[in-house]
Formats: sequence, structure tokens, C-alpha cells
Amino acid sequence: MKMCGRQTGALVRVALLDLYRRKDLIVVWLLSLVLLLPLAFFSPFGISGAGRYLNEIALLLVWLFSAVIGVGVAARLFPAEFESRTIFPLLAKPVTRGRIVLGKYLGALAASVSALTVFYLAYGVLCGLRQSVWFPVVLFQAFLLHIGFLIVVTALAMLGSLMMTPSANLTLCGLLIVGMLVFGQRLPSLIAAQPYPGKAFLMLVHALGPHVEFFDLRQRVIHGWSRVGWDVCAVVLLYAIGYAAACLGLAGWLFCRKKV
Amino acid sequence: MRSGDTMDLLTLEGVTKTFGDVRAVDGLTLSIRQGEILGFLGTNGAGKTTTIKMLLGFFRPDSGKIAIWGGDPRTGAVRRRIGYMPETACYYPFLTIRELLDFYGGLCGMTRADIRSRAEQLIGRVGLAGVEKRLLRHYSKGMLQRAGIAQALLHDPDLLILDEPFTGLDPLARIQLRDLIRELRAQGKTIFFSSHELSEAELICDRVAMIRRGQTVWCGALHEVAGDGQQNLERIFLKMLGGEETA
Amino acid sequence: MRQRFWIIMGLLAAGGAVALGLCLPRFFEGSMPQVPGEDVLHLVLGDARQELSMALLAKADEYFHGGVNDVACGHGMTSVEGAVPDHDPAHGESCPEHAHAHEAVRWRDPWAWINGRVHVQEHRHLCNDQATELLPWIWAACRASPQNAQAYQTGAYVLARMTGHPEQGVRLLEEGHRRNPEDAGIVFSLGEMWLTHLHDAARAESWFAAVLPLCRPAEGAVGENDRLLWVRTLFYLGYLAKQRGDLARARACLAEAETVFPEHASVKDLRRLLQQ
Repeated sequence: MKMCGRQTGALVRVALLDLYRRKDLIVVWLLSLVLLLPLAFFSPFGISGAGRYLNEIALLLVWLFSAVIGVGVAARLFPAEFESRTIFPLLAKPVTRGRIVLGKYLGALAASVSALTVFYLAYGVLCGLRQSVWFPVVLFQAFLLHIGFLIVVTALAMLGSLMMTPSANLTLCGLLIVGMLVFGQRLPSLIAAQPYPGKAFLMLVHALGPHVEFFDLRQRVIHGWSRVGWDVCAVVLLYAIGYAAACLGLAGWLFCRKKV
Repeated sequence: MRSGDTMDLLTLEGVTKTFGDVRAVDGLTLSIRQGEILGFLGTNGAGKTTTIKMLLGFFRPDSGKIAIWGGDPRTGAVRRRIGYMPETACYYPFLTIRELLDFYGGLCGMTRADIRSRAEQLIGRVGLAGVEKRLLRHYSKGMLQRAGIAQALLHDPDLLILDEPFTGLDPLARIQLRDLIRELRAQGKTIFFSSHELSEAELICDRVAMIRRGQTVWCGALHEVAGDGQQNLERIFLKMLGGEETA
Repeated sequence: MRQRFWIIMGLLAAGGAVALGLCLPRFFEGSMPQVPGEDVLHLVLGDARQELSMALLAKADEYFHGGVNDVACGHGMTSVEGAVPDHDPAHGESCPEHAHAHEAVRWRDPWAWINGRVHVQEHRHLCNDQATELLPWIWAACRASPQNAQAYQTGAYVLARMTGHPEQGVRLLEEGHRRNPEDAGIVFSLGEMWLTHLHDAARAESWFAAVLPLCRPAEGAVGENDRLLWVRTLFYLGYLAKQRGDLARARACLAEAETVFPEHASVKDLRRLLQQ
């Protein structure tokens, strides 16, 4: 158990160092600041008081950048190891391939969640300063479910990194994420309206696709709707963990069979 | 070719490995005794690196048997006692040497305190004191080789597998590495290294194994190779391996 | 030496390009290829500007409904067509939350069940001061495509009716009129704005009078939208003429309205007004 903890901890630490030393995060934070600051002083038609648009744009940026970081970090973990040949000294150590997959996944997740936490803290402060009414519970739920989103997309990107090239992996993950966020809720009605074989394809996507729209609480945060039930939150997080476990299981199986 | 005796730490018996149409290792039989230094010599493409990868458990042989301490090299118990230095010194460029050793030490199950003290010792021993805070991407090739030696020795392994350890080292570093290898042997470690540097092999090896087209051509003590002392290892190498490049 | 040569060559090439760029239009004025469009944005986006503008208006509508889109609600935020009627008891001037619940989600589909619980299934309307939240999107819609008359009209309605800034609404419509001088709807909205919110009958009448030449076709049949606008304009002109005692003018408006759209409610209202 201790051995497992030490091995996993070592892999997580390296993933965190990789992310923070690349300075991608600093670029992303600066870009967000550059985009949001001018908007914060904007008064359309000379009338002040509008704040939801800023929240919407800020949250959109948080989602966009967190997806890019989550998918980007996970998608390059294994390809970078193979390309730079650091995989050889790694595999020579007394650590199983399955544990390597798990450790790298947890490292990528930790890196993405740490970046996300900073985004949400900054957003929370901005929100609290601008608005007289603040919805901390809804914001906390949004943050929690956003972690669920990262749990799923990081696992998906890691699985993809063992099956295809990095660019194909990023493209596919991007399409899945955007597609599900935009159309995920409407899939049942689309399925009902489609004839076969389109119907069968959509049913497959609906059944097996990553329903990342479950984790999107932006509507509630921006427009001040009430919180989601905690039981629903728990179900959604369980879905995230289950989906990620399935992806990681498949990734571990693929990595064990991979020739080096 | 000599067979292993009862003190054999590592044995390969009739090991074969094919990649597509290419037979990289063809019925290789080899053994290493506890506490000796074995030089694994061969031309490019002879199958040295493939053999090493099988020893480390990266993949299984198609046929034959590999045993290290009587066990499967893919088990954690065996790999915990092996230190490996790859041919190409590739390590995470965004880490410092301490962070690299911390990482590998963690993978070997060492405690943070053990890693710290061992790292301190090894960094000085391999001559990297003073550049600990530098990222590995700013290391020269020779410095990366030294980092590789340090990470191979970190968990105090009983068997060292070194793939081309002298590549990229300046003469002083080569002397230091030779001394280190002799020191490790004196401590009872077993060293298995592949090299093109015949002069280095001549200076430190107890036995050499020459391999051509995936087969052992000759394996024995240096003095047996040298015979009447009028032939050096280079001449013997050319004679045994014919000077031809293999596919 | 070689490096200096290439630096000099590079500078000469750059200078030559600048000189060409300055001289060519002067020498070949009138015969250079003409590209349509008034600015770079139009050149780059073309017709996509209109789509972008409509999408931004749809975003404002989404905000009006509390962030819920695709709402099957008959009450939009605009007053252009089918506005929230003041006499509708279900949607008064107060700020109710309207639980127009969507159809229940089937439990057999667990993913749909989760979506139904996570995402808001009802909607509400923004009103009064909250309507300022619509303004950024409306502003963006106007800037995205100055030819989108609906954006100006919607913006003016929100400014005047919902947020209580009719002067800003007038300013916006005047800008829209400058950009779209042939658009009768904007001119009509200006007339309504001056009459209803700023209570300036004279200015309102001048704007209503300006609508007529835009609605009346030079030749051929009049379109349905233009016909509607025409008859409503005649109603207002007749009403204003009666207010200042010019009954002849009022009757002339009624007579014209009866030829344009005799069955419209405005014609009946004007007739009743003149009978009083």
C-alpha cells in the first residue's frame, strides 16, 4: 500500500511540475485577464449594471481553458514519453504498467484541477465584487461538477493517447466535448426524429458517449437559478468516476499490450 | 561458449525474438555470475539492445527462457534489484537532477529521507555537484550520462544493466566511471554492460560475450580471448564478428 | 559583408513595396479592381455578419428567458411583432417567474433524467432593471451588422420600455436610421418612441409622415409587412391629426387606410375615433 502510494505520488508530482514549468498556465491566465478586463469597464449605451454577460464570458473562458489544459496535458503524457524515450527508464523501474497509467492519470488530473481551482477562485472574487447577490452554493456545485468534467475528459484523452496520434486525439476529444455540450441535451429528441441508420448511430452516441453536459452548471450560476439537488450531484460524480474507470481500464489493457 | 555454473545470477537459454521478418535474437544463450562484470559486445544491429530489453521485461521472448535470480524479470521483486541505464540519455527535461532522482526513487518505493541522502551521495559521486538546480534540458550529453548513472544506482541495485555507458563521456569521466564500476564489483554488485568501446571493456570486464545476428559467437574470460597476449580485443572482435555490418 | 548585402536588399524590397502601395492607386485610379463592402469586417465576414447579429439577438432573448433557449413561450422581449400585450393578465408589468414546465423526462433514459435534473427546465422573464442584462448582447448585435434593423428596434424597445431610458432608445433608432435610411420599420419605431415615451406629438408626426413614402411601392404590389406598417402609420397620423383638430387630414388618413387594409383593427379604431 505504501509502495503504491509512493509510486503514485511520484508520478503525480512529475505531472504537476511538467504543467507548471511549461508556463502554459501563465499564458492562459494572462490571456483571460486581457480579455476580461476591458469588458469589465464596458457600459453598453452608457448604462451600467449589466454583469451577467461578463460572468458568461468569464465562465466560457474557464471552460475553454480547462478543457484545453485537461485534454492537452493528458493527451501528451504517453506520446511524449515514447517520443523522448523516457519510457525506457520508467518501465525499468519496479512499477507495473497499470500503475503507471493510473499514476499518470492522477497526475494529469491533479494538474488540471489545480489550474481549475485558481480559475474558480478568481471567478468567485470577481463575482463577489461585482454583484450584490452572490450564490456561493451554486458556484461550489459548479466547481465540483467541473472537476467531474475533468475526470472524464482527462481519462478520455489518456485513452486516446494510447490509440491514435496526438493531433487526432485532440481533434476527436474536442469534437466530442463541444458536440456533447451543444447537442447532448437534445439527443433524445434527435434520436426520435431520425430514421435508421442515423438513429442507431445517435443511440450509440447517447449510450456510450461522454455526457459532459451533465457537468455544465453555467446557466444556473450566471442567471441565479437555485442549486441542483445534492443527490443529483452525487449521481453525476459517480457517472464521472465510472466513465473514467472504464476508460482507464481500457487504457491500462492497451498499455500492457503495447510494444516498446 | 561456456555454460553457466551454479552461481549464475542471470541466464538466457535459447532466447529468440522476431520482429516481423527480422529475427533480432536467435537462440541466444548466455549467463552472468554473481559479482562479475560481463561485457556484451557486438556490431550495430546484432541484437544487444533487444536482449537488454528482454532482460528488463519490456517484452517477452518468442521462445527460450530468461531467469534473473531464478525469477521472471517482469516481476517487481526482480526489477527492484536491477538498475538500468539506457543507451540514449533521455530524461525529463523540465526536472532538475534532484527531482529526477526523487521521481525514480519514489517509483522504487524509497522513502523521501532515503532518497535525499542517497541522492546527495550520488550527485557528488558522479560529478554533478554544483549543477543540481539546473534543469536537465540544459545539461550536456556527458552530464546526462552521469545523471543516468546516478538514477541507475539510486536504489542500490544488485544487478546493473548499462547500455553503452561510456558514450559521450570525456576521458576524465570515463576513468571515474571505470573506477565506479570496479568499486561496485568490489561491493558484490554484478554489472552487465553493452558497449562499442572495446578498450573500456578490455580494462574492466571479467568476461565478454560477443554476439552476431542475435547469436552468441563467443563468451568467456578476457585472458582466454587474448590467448598468447599478442592479440588485443579489437583484433579478436574483428576476427570473431568478421567486421561485417548486420541488417 | 554577405549579411550586410542581404539587409540592404531586404530594406530595398520593403521600401519598394511601400512605394508601390502608395503610387499604384494614384496612377491607376478608377481602373483598380473594386471590392464591395464598406469596411474590413464586411469584407471578411460578408453575409455572416447578419447571421452573427441574429445569433447575438437570440442570445439576448435567451437572457430574457433566464438563460433558457429554445423556449416554447409566446412572449418575447421585443415589441416589433407580437409583443407582451399589456392587457394579457398572465404576463403583467410585475416580475413573475413563469413555470412553463417542459414535458416530463422519461425515467427509462437515465441520461435524459440526469439532464432534466441538472439543467433548468423552466424559464422566467427579465423585467425592469434586470433588463440591463440584455443590453450588451443587443449592443453587440447592432455592431455586428448595422443592417440588422431588428437589432435596433429590439434595442430601442428594451431601452425605452424595459429599462426606462427612452432617450437612449431614440438615439439608437436614429443611428439605425442613418445606417438603414430605407427601412420603414425603424422610422415607424422612432415615431412610436417620440409619441409613447417622450410625448412629443410634433416630432412623432414628422417621423410617421416619413414612413409613408417608404411603405408605398413605386410599382407593383405592396408586401405584407409594408402593408401592415402602412396601415398602422395611417392610424397614428389620423390620431395625431385629430388631436390637433385637423379632421380633414384625419379623414384622409382613414380613407387611405380603408383602401390599404380595410379589415385591420387599426382602421376600425381610427373610424371609431373619428366618430367620437
